Amino acid sequence: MNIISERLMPYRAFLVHEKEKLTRQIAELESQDRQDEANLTKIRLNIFGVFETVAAVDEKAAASWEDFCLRYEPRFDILTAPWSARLQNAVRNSDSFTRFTEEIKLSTAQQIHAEFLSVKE
Amino acid sequence: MSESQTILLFKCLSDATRLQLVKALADGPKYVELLSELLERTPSTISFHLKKLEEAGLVSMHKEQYYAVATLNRQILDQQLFSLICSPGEQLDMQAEREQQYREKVLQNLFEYGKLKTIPVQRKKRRIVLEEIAKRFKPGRNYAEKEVNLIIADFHDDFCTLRRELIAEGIMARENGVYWLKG
Repeated sequence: MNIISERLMPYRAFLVHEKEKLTRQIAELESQDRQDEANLTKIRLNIFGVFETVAAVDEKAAASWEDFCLRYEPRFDILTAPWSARLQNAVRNSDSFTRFTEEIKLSTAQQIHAEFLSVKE
Repeated sequence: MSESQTILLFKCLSDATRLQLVKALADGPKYVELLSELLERTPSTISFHLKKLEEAGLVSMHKEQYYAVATLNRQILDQQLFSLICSPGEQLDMQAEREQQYREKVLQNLFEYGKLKTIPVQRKKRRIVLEEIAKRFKPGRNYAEKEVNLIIADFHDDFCTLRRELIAEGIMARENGVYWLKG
């Protein structure tokens, strides 16, 4: 195991743990006939999947932990920029449903970013 | 109530949280935070479901100071199920209904916040888009080309193509640089 994988271990464990938790929540919501809430939870699950995949890509490309951080951390801004734009647009146009989904995506990304910062230090 | 509205109503009610919300509102209007406590859901989740109920006409929302208050629309719920499905006196023109649904879907897909995302290639869709744009023009009024361009530019940057299409489709007429709605 290289140094990047080693340092990424707690972060990966967090992502896996959260994904498992969300998968259980989805199944529970679906069993309770709360399909819309299940679908919104699926959005959260997908965001975890996105940052997990990107981490794997950057890990392969990075030469060191510092290099990995330089590649990976800007992703939190790059990936969320279109979501922020859509959110602002939705707020301007009183589009509650888009606003709701974009807020979910952004808050999930913030949660993941906070966890990454804690392992980065 | 049209068939599509009835479907929307039943779809809306086929969710456990929304049914619980309807039950919670049965004994009177309540504000979002209180519903959030009663149902043990976050206020944003409650707002999401209330918006769905509002769209189906089951709930109406109003502001009281800082609070968003939801009120149940009992008129719909007091109706018998059968009368909701088979509204008396309603001559269901299925073809017209389907046409309307198609139209709404096309407009929903092609417009975002009042802006045309792309000019459709398919003639039927393009016609629907042009008819939608034509709603901005007042019947019986003459427009200079500049005015026409400005109105169309609100929808899409390629106002020249759309202006020409409005003429080609016979929705508008033009003579000596003056435009007007036909029909």
